[in-house]
Amino acid sequence: MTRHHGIFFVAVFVLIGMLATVAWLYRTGRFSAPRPESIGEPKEPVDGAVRLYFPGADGRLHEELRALDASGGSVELTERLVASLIAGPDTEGLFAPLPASTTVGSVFLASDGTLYLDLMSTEHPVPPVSGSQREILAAYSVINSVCGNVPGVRGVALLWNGEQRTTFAGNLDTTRPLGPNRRLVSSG
Amino acid sequence: MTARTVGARGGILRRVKRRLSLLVTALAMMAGPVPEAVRAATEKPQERVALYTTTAVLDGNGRQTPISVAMMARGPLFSIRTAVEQLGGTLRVGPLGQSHAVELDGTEFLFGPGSSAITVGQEILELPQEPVGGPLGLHVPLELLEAIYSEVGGLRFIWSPGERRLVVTRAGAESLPVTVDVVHLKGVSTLVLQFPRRPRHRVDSTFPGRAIVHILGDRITPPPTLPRLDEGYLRDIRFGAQEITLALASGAAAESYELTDPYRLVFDIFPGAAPKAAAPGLPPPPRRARIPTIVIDPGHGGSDLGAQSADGLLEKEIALRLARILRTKLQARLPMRVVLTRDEDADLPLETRAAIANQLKAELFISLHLNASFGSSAHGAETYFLSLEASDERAQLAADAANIGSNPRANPLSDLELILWDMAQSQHLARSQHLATLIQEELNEALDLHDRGVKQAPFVVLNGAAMPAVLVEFGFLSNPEEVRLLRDPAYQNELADAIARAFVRYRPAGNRPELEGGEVPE
Ligand SMILES: [Zn+2]
Repeated sequence: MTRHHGIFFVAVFVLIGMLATVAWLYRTGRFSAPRPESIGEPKEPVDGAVRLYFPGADGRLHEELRALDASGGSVELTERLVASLIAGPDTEGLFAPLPASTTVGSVFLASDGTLYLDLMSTEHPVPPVSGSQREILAAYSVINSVCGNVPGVRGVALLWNGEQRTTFAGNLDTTRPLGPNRRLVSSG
Repeated sequence: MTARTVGARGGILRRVKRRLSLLVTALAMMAGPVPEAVRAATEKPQERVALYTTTAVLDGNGRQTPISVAMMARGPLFSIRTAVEQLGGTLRVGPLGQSHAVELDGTEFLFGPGSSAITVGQEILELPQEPVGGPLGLHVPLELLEAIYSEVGGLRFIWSPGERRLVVTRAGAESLPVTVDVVHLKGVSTLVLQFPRRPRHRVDSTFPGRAIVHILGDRITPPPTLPRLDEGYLRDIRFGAQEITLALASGAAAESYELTDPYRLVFDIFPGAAPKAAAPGLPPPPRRARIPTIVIDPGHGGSDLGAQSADGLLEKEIALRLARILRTKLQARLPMRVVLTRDEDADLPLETRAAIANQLKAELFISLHLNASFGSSAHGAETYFLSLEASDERAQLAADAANIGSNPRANPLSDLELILWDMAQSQHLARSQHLATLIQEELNEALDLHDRGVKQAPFVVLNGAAMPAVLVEFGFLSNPEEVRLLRDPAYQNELADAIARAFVRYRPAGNRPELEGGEVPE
């Protein structure tokens, strides 16, 4: 093994450790905003609380109300939201924004309100290239759903298989975090 | 200063990456016997951290001098300062240490840390890896030294990593065959000089009524026959072993630019007003005819197929076809130079596309695409201009600052800073929206669409364009009916006609009919 590889693996190892620590801090509430209930108390799932945004063939995002366990920190809530998006809509005529093989990798909420969301897929080493409408709907389905439901999230930085990419799927700028886009949401 | 602040790409993500690279550096230090300074650059930790720095021998001109080398994962980088000191030319570094310019025999090469693009006149070259700055000054890849000293200085480089020796030899001067073509169209005479490769040269326009191309280093072989020059504004053309002299019609002025693949040196000759007699020892009056330029960017290309239809119609192919049709239509309607970012099926990075338009100082930039969506019912054409993401406050600041001064030419940015400035478009949103509106109106009319308005999105290809810029999605490859239409040359013609009509209607800010040509003071 070359020295360079060695350094890289050490760096990755330490990074994983840091992420785990951060995740633990979140889980224990030490890192997030003060919460009403104290740690250890049984939490009641908050139902009917989330709005998911699914792409429609009309080029817009359509709201779907879901009962989703809203307990835990921002990381767990984001994981559940995105997993629900990947699983697909209940409404006929709407679409799942991401390939079914996609999973949620690491999630990290920075203090400035940027949520780093790593989407993983072994089937797609890079996000499947598509036309820009599909790309925009897919990205903002995730971004609007996360920003609209996870407290404190101002923008989402999308990563794919651990990498920050210039574009999400060929056109859309993902070198910086993207805020929600309300104009894409269907009013009807 | 606003521009500089905004130019730092990627905001928060960048900062996170920087921290990561510092972490990697710290770990590398702790890991033990890494020779000399292991230094972190700003981004892409694996690519921009030197594995180690060392000193090699620069062996050229019968002299041997030490040169600092940074060994990167992707190959060695050499100290540009030492290279210029030893091999000739002058090196100028911008006040912020970002922009670097090497001038050699009248040719200027612009480059900087963190960008793999270098500009040579109006040409942009891509380096295989980016120059990296540090305490020992900017270090550049061998390809940059070759770009400077092979073409312009006639030098050849051989790097022996084992010996740590960079050997420089002088190549024998070649004789380059030149071909000549002249067209006279719409009040402009265009002379095209084609060479097998870019010769080291300098264009001298200091004498009224004349333009001289000095070939430096190489010799040229004139063409066996010359085109007839009985009309137009070019009166005569003469070839020497190392110069080409153009005699212009009385009062005419010439503007030159370069095209690549194959390499061409082009002169547009206009019947401009007779220049005033220059005072002895002073440069000629700063007045030059200027033809407006539109840059058309056919989306995707090469390994990037873009969207595709179920039956295999590719976005990259239709985009190129439409771009070529549009070029022909625009050139027939408006006295303008139309340049395609790619005129073949080739990979072209998104950032390079706008950079080409910036280098050509184009008036307008239009990127052509085909859409795809979920399901198969989406149809119709859409026109986009850039949206600045609210989450990137610096981009918003740039837009606010830009609204104060709307003249892009008043911006005191150098060309290099401009092409590295990834949010250049924020200064031109109002005119981009205007152009997008005209285009969408024409498309709605041509395609009988009713509910289509102009849209905004953060598209990378528009970010860096320092002029009004739009992106057109002509139709949906996910819709079988529209795929059938998009294949039809008559439909392709209609689409291109609609865009051409919009360009004819377009007026720059202040209502100056700039696209109709004319003269601008320089
Ligand atoms: Zn496209």
